[in-house]
Amino acid sequence: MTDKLLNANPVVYDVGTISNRARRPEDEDESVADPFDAEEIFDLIRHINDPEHPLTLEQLNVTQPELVAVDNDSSHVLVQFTPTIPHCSMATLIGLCIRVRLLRSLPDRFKVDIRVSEGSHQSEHAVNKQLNDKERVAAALENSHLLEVVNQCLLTAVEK
Amino acid sequence: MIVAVDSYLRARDGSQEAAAALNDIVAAVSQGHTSFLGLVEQLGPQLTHSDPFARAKGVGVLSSVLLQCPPERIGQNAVNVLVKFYIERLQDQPSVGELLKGLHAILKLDLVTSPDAEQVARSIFAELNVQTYQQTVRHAAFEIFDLLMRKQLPAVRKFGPSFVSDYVQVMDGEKDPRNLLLAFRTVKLIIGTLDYSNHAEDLFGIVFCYFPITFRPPPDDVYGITAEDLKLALRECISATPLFAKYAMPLLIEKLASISGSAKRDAMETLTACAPVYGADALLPHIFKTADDNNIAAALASVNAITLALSSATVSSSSVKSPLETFLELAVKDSIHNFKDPELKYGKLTGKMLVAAASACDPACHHVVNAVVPPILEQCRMQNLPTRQKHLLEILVDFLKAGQDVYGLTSVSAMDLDDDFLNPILSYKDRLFELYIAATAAASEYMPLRRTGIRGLAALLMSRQLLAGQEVEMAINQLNQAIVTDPDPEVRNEAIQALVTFATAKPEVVLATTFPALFHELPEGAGPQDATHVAGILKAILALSATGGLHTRGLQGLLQRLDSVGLVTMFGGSELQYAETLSKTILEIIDEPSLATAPGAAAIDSQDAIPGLAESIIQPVLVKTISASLSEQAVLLIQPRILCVWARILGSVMRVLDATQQQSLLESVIAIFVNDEVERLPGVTRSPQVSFAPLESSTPESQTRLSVLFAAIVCNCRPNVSFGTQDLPAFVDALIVRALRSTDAALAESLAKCAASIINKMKDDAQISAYMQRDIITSLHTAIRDDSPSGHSLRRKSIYICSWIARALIIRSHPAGYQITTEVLRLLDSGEQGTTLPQAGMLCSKAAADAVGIIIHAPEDGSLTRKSFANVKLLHPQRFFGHCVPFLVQGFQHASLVTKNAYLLALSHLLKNVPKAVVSNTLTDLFPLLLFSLSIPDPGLKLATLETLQALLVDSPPAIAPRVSSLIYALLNMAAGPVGAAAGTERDPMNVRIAALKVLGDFPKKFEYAHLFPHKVTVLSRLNVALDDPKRAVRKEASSARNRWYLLLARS
Repeated sequence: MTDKLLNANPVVYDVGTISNRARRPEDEDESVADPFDAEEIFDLIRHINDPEHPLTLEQLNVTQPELVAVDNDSSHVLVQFTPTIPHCSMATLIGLCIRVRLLRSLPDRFKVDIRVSEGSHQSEHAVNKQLNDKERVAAALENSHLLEVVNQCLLTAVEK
Repeated sequence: MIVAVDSYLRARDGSQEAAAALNDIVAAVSQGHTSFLGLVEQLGPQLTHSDPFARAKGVGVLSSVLLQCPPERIGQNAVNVLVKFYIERLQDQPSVGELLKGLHAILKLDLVTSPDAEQVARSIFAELNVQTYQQTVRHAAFEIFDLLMRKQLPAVRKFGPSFVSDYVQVMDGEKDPRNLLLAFRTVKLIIGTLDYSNHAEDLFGIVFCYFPITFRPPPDDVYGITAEDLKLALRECISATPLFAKYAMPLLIEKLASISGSAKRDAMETLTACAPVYGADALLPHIFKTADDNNIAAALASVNAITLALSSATVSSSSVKSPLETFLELAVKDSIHNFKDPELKYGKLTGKMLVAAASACDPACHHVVNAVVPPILEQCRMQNLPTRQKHLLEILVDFLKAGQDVYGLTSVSAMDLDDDFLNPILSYKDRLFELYIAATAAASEYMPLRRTGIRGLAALLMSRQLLAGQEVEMAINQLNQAIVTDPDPEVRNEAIQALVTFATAKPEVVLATTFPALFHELPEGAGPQDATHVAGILKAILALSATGGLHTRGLQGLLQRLDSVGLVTMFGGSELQYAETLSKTILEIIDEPSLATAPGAAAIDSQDAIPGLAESIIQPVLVKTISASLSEQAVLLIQPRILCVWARILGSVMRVLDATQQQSLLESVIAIFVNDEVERLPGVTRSPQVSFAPLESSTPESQTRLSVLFAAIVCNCRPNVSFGTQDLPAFVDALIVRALRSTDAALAESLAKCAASIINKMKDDAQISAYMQRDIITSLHTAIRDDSPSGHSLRRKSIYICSWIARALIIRSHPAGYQITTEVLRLLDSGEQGTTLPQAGMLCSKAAADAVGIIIHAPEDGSLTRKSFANVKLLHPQRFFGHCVPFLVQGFQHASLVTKNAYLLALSHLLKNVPKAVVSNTLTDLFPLLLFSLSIPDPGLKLATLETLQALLVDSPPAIAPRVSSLIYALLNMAAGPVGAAAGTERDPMNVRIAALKVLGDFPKKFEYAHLFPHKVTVLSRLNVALDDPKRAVRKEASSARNRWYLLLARS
């Protein structure tokens, strides 16, 4: 980590200690299928660590449940995230972490789109393009140093 | 004169003649017999001699004279010439030592001009690599620099910053403590006088590399330098300038976590010395930027330590501020602006830091609180955004806690504390109280704010000196309100916790206000409208009752509510549920360990102890249940679910009674249940023709279900309680006979347990052996062996009763127990023999497998365990396991597919109940069984095996490591279905899938990379199927397992 943090003093949001999903009786019922929903996807990404701070993406309000959309029938997931500052150079890295987490955690029938939420980043278009280009993502993951950083960020999410 | 010079030059170094000759020379010069220049002339040939050591000797004469002669005898001119001469000769290596000595002497004379002094330093820097010379030479060099710094400052200044960097070179690598003391002094002078800002890091590096000092003086040390001297000199350097702060702080904070005690103390003391110099500027970033919680904790601890250390520093004069004030003022000034945006990361940490400072001592607390609390309160007034308010109030809670640290808790008796010190928060108490009450009020929508409000009230309540009587009441009422009405469980829990803590300090207040408020919420005579609400209230009552002193009132209230619904005949599910939860709460209060071990110790008056409650609980409940069962009214109280809880309650009460109390209770219970002497219980009403015989299988079920109460009393007797005048063996016989006859499972269980419990508590092994010879036991054995079609129902019952008796014997390691076990284990393959009645054979196999479970499993109600005073030998599970395993392994190998299940079932009972270490020792033998059990359809067996595997992974991964390959494929088949399975194939139930994924997810944590690597591709791709599982709970495990495998592979 460099000495100068891009955003050294970010807003820290309060997050509940427990999952907010209400328990339903049919959760235990084998015959009822549970479709994927936004909350489930959010649960997968909320505990990812920010590359700059020992705080999770949820605590920094980078990811929000409202910014996740799932369409089960057409197997499509859209995740939007909001960098803490508009010139955040970590945006691509954060997006990559989310991308990798979902690659590893969702069945491969899903097409996942990851975007910076509209108007929240000055080079929004470039970041979006980078994050949704399969080959560039694959190339990024070939870089062992980068993969190390990503895995570090994902560690907290995996152990939740 | 010439003679003296000659004799000196001829004498050996250090000899007496040399010393005498030198004295003569010095005397001659200082008394004016010879001029100094004359001496130089005489030495001329020597000084230009071709032998370097001769030259050195010549220089030595000069230097010694310079050192010892009065300055006026040498003269300004000579000095000018000599300096030049000395400087020029510096290249002459063997003479360097003497030269430096001479230069030092000259500099001391105060006759050296500034340009000359500059030249001295320049030449030393340029010509000499000081660190290559021996200690005395280096010492002279350091002495010269020390003199230059003190006497020739203008000359040194001309160098500008390069002097610092050159000096760093000179000092780099110095190891001798004598030199270091000098060098440190020079560094301090440099810092005080020169511009070193461009070389601060170098300078710091050259100094800090000695931290922490571990010098130990040699035993024959003549110089008297101690580690303490060095430490002090070094500390003065480190703490000399704020420019060192950014280098020193991380290192010092790191050293704080050092294991070595002296290093830690050194770091602490150095930090303390540095703090006033560095200022809060330097401290804050380390608290803010620290990447992990450990560093934050260390940083906060150091703030606390610094404050504490500074507070003991005395003020030298009244006009000067104490170091403590200086430090705190800086800290406050630098951080207070952070509170303007309290939700930012720094806001929280600033609060934490100031709290750490405030909790150090009384003056610090006063200073910080008075400086910080008013502006925060002002912020609170201006900010009405709940999120911001919440953060500010949270910081204030921390200040209250700091106050508790300094001024004590409400619970500490006033005697132990000094009331001379007043909590500074007292002046802001009213406003704080108002704020927290408002935050707690249900009106605020934002849950974390309400939670903080509760924390604030709790902190106020627990702080000494703060709240007055009426305010305490208000606060408690607010907490009660929160428990009763708050919609959020976290807030309710917080409130309960607050009250529980306060109850340890002031139980009477909680008793008077909280209990009535809580009981008001429990309906009387009917079931509640909202079962979850009541469950929450009962949870609060339970938590409070468990704190001691309050349990009597809690129990009384609960019993009274239970009575009000217990005799209702028209009841639905909600009433039944209500009665059950009430009963369970009563049970949990009685079972509370803190109450059982110290009954009445914390109680308001000692009669409230649990044993005293026996009569108030046991007697009435017997009266009520017996009356109800006699009248054959289906009242709520004698519903099996409720009776089951009550049996546990009676058992728990029994266990706290002493032997005499148990004796009298047991006698009357036997009289009532066996001999129908219901009159012993005053208050039982019955019509004359009805008899009470709950232990007979012929009586109606409404009576026999009470047998669980009988068993609870009998099974929990202490070993020295006698069964009265009864003929004990005959009594046990009767119980067994009744059990054999009964068709009701609950009755059979109660009777078998009673019999087993009595057998287990028999005085000695001989008595047991004698009992095992009795006819009834022999007939049980015969029944077990009887495989005729007509006897199979009796056979299964006999197996059941025998297994209870076997448990009684096995836990006290009586050999007869193993005889029965062997007999029962032989029945595991009866599925094979019973060709005429395959169904009956299978049932018998299953009964035998279940018998293993009964023998090894400690019943939940505590009967036949240590809790109920049973005679339990150490290591009995291990012995039993060792006894069974060979049977199971052999039997399994020869069994047909149909009966393999029975073996696996028996094994699963064992696995669930024996310590996992035992299993790992026999894993080689058992592994085929375990693996097989993962491939059969029975989910119960799979779960038991998976559970065992999980436990084995925790304790002994090496035992499993060689078998990883075969396991992985079995696990994948369960988690993701077999490869290429058709779409409609029956999957394993979800709990099996989850358990399999959990085990699979544990692998990467437990095994070497090399063991798992070959399976990586398969695992990742097969888990992809599990990621699309229809059930969410399964998907969660699948994703967690798959991610772990990915992370594992990233380690390569």
